[in-house]
Amino acid sequence: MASSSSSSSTQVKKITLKAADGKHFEVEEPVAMEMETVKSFFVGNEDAMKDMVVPLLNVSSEHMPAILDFYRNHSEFRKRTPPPPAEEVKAFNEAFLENKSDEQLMEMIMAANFLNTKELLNFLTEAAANRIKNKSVEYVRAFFGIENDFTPEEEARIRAENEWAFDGLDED
Amino acid sequence: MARILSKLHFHEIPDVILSSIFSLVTDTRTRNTMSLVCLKWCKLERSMRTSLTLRGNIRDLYLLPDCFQAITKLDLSFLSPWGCPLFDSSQYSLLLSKLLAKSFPKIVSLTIYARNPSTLRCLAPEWPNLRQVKLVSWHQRFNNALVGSEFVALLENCYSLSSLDLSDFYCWTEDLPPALEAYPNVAASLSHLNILIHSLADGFKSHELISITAACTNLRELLTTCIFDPRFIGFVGDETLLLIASNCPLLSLLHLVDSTSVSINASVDHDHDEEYKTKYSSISHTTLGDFFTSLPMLEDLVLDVCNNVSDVWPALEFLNSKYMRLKSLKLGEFHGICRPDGFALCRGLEYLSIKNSADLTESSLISISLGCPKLTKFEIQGCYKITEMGLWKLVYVLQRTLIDMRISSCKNLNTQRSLQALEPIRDRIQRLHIDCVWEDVEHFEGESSTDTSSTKSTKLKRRYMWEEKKT
Repeated sequence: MASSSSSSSTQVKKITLKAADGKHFEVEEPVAMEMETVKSFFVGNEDAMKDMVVPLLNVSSEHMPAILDFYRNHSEFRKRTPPPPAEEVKAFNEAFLENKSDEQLMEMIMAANFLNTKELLNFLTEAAANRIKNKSVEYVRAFFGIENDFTPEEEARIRAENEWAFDGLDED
Repeated sequence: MARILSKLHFHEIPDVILSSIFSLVTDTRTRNTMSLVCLKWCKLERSMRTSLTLRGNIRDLYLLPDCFQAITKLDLSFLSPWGCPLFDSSQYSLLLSKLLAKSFPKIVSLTIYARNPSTLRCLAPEWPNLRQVKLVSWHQRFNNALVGSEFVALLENCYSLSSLDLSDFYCWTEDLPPALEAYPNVAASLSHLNILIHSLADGFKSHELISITAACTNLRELLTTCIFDPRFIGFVGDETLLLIASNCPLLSLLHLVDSTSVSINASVDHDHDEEYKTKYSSISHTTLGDFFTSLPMLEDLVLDVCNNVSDVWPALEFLNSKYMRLKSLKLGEFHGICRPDGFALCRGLEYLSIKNSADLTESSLISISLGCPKLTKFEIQGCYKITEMGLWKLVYVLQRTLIDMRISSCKNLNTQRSLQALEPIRDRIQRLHIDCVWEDVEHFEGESSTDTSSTKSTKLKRRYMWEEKKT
C-alpha cells in the first residue's frame, strides 16, 4: 500500500476533509482511508476526484485533530515490527482520554460512529463504559443527556426488581 | 452551533453503540443503575442481563419478578436464611420450582444450594437444558437418603450436562460413581468434572476414580482429591494413574491432589528429613513417562503427592521433548526434578509450582530458569536447600517474563532475603506472596522501612504477607 512510502516520499497525497462547522483539514491519504466513511466516498464513486473536499457532517472541528492523531498513532502501532509494548499503546490511549470531558467523549463517540471506524469506536465505548462504572443514576443520565421518563411508581418497581440481584463484594 | 447540534443527537445514540456499552458493563451495581436511567434503557438492560446471583429470603420467593428473562447463568446459593433447604417435598416447593422456571426460562448454568435431594428433584426437570451445574452444601447428607440421589435427579433430567462442579458440595466419595454409571450417556457428555472437594477428610479412592473416569470418557478437565499414601486402602499408585490416563485420553487439565494437602492441617510444619526417608508413594518415574504419553493434550497438570516421588527427571525430560502444550505444572513432593548435570524442564511452561522438593538446589533453579524461558508465575514452597543467591539468579534470568511469585516456608529464605532476591523484577512484579519463617522478628522490624521501600513497586497489584512464627 501507499502507506509505506508515506514517510519516505516527499509528496504525500492529501485529502481535504470538511468538518461540520466548515473548517477544512488536510489529511494524508492513508490516514484518511482509516475512516470507512471517507473510503466509501471514493471507492465505488468513479466521479470522485482525490482533490475533492469530503464533507463530514457530524464531526465538529474541535475533535478532528484528536481523532486524526489517534488514527496516525494507531496505524503506526499496527505497522511496527515487533509490535510496540502494551505499555506504550496504553500510555497513548490514556493521554488521549485525559482532559476530555464526558460531553466531549460522547461527541467523539458519535463522530467515530459516523466515520465508521471500528477501532476508535470500540476504544471510546470502552472508555464510556469505564466512566459510568459505579456512578449514580443522575450521573449516567447527565453523561448521556437522557431525561428521566419514569413515573415514581415505575421507578419504585424497578428498584424493587433490582433488590433481587445480589451485589456481592468488590474484588480486592 | 455544533455543540447544540450534537446535544440534540444525544437522544439518538444508535442502539448498536448502546448495546456495546451495555455489554462492557458487567458488575451488578452499575447494571442496576443503568436500568433506572430511562424506560428504553431499562428494557435494553433487562434484555441483555445474562448473569444473576439471586438475593432474598426463601420465604419470599413467590414475589420473584419475571423481568429477568434473558438470564442464562443463575446462582441460587446466596438465598437467606442460609442453611435452610430451598425445597422440601411439599406442594409449595413444586409451585416454587415452576415459578423459578417461568422467571428464568433460559438457564444453562446453575449454582445451587442443595442441602437435600428434593432440591434437585424439584428443579432439574424444569431446566432440562442445563449445561453447567455447581452444587453447594456444607452439611452431611441425610441418613435416610439414597446413595447419590442428588446426582440421580440431575443426571436423569439434564442430558446435555457438560460441566459438574462439586468442589463445595459435602458428599461421600462413594455417592458419585454409581450415579454416573447409571446414566452412561450423560456421563459421557461431561467435559469438566471438579471433585476437588475441600470439606472431605479423605480423598476419592482408587477404584472410585477408575469407575468415574471409565464412565466419563470425554473429560477434558478433571480435578480431584485422592490418596497417594500406600498405607491406606484405595491409594493411587502406578496402576491407577495409567488407568485414568487411558480412560480419559482427551484430558487437557488434570489436578490430582492428595487429600492431606487440601485439609486445614496442610500447612503444619512436618519434619521433612524424617519423612523423606520413610514416606514413599508408590509412583515410579517410569510410570510417569507412560502416563504422560497417554495424555497428549495435557496443558495444565497438578500432581500434589504428599508422599515422596523420587528421581522424576527422566519423565519430566520426556515431557519437554514431546509436550509443547504444557503451560502449567505443579508438583508436590517430587524429588530429583532436575538432572544432576542440569537440564531444561519445559519450553512452553508459563506457570511452575514446586512444593516440598528435598533436593532442589541453587543449580536446579538455574537450570529451571534456562529451561523455561516463558515462565510468568513461579511458586516455591518448603524447599529447604534454596538460598537467596539461587533465587536471585532465577529471577535475573527470567526478569523479562516473571510477574507473579510465591515463596512459602523455605527455611533459608526469610522475608528480607526473599525480597532481596526479587530485586531484578522489582519494578515489574504484579503479584507477590511471601509467607516464611521470620527468625528474628525484631531485627526485621528495625529494617522493615528500608525493605518496603526497596521493593516499592508501581505495578504490584496485590501483596500478601503472612507471618508464621516458629516456636
